[in-house]
Amino acid sequence: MAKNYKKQFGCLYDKHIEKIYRYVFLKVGAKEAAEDITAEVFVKSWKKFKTGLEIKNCSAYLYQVARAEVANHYRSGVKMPTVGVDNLPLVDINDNPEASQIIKSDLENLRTHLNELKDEHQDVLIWYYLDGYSSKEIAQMLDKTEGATRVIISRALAELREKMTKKWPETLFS
Amino acid sequence: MDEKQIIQQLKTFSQIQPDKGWEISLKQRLLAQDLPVEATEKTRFIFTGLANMFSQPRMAFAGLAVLGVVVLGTSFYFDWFGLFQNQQSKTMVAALQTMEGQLQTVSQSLDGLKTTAKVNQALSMTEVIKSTIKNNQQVAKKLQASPMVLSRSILAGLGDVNKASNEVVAKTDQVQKEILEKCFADLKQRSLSATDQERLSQAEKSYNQGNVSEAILLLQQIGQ
Repeated sequence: MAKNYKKQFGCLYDKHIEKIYRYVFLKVGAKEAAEDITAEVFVKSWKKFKTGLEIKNCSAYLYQVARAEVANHYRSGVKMPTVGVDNLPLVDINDNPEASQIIKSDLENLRTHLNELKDEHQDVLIWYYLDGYSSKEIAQMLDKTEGATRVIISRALAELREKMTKKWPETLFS
Repeated sequence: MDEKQIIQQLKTFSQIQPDKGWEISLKQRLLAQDLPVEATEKTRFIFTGLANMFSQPRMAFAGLAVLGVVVLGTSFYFDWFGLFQNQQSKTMVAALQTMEGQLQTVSQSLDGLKTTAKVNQALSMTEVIKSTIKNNQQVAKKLQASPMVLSRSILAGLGDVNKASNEVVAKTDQVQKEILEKCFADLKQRSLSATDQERLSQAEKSYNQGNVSEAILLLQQIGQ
């Protein structure tokens, strides 16, 4: 039974670790803090998991714990950091240093604007576009209807676009 | 910038990945923790009971009160909110910082031992310092190897203390070497009894073989 628990939690860990780390990293913008918070999320989840009580939607539960831990992190007085472009832990774009510098700079700009959105909008964008969850799965995580979730995703994207274009008016580049 | 470009950039974030080594070590540390305990039928009964209480309006208030007491009471043991773990973590980091500060003080005071007239006491002191630090390092190693999930700040603190400990041990070795060599040179110029002469010779031999503790013990017996 114990082995089964470990195996099940191991699978849950493998399936979610990258997503939760990415989610936390985008919110806190620092590798060390993201590692500490992600570790705390899984420690709490493991404690809950081993009680044997049913967790209906594991993804939703993990993101819920992650959100609470990020809030605790900022409640402890940490200011929203600005990540140096070199500190983004991206895996595939480091082969071409020049291109990678431009991409990282754009991405950091995007991350800053993403953090300016309200939490629910940030979450749906991360889940839908980065993690590849369907609107149905996101609806279950948010406890909303699929239609309402699609509207939230659409609004979140529009709001992000508005923030990006306000900062960098298209006329500057045309 | 249109929405397609933003979506494209957002998708690039999916390349953000944790350090593989960290990912694997966290999993190992988590799963090495104490074996899971399945919720017993009794526990389930308590939760079902509480749920039933909430379903009856008259009992809802009493149910809430009971639930509050249970949650608060058990939080001290189970740490539902993680409050104590965070506090423990902070306390541990502070303790490690204090230890590091104390090691620096010890390191500074080692210089004073070189010039003290009480050579025996100075040598004993160096042995005590080395043995205490080595014990502390063993405790730190056990802590690092334990299945507990230590935060990055605690691990960094342990690393700093270990580094400071190694520096103090190296400096203590150097101070011991200087005191002992000075001591041998001084004793060789004195007229010693045959027994003390033998002790001095044995002490020097032990020192040359790297057995500093034995050399110190033999030197401390000279003249007694």
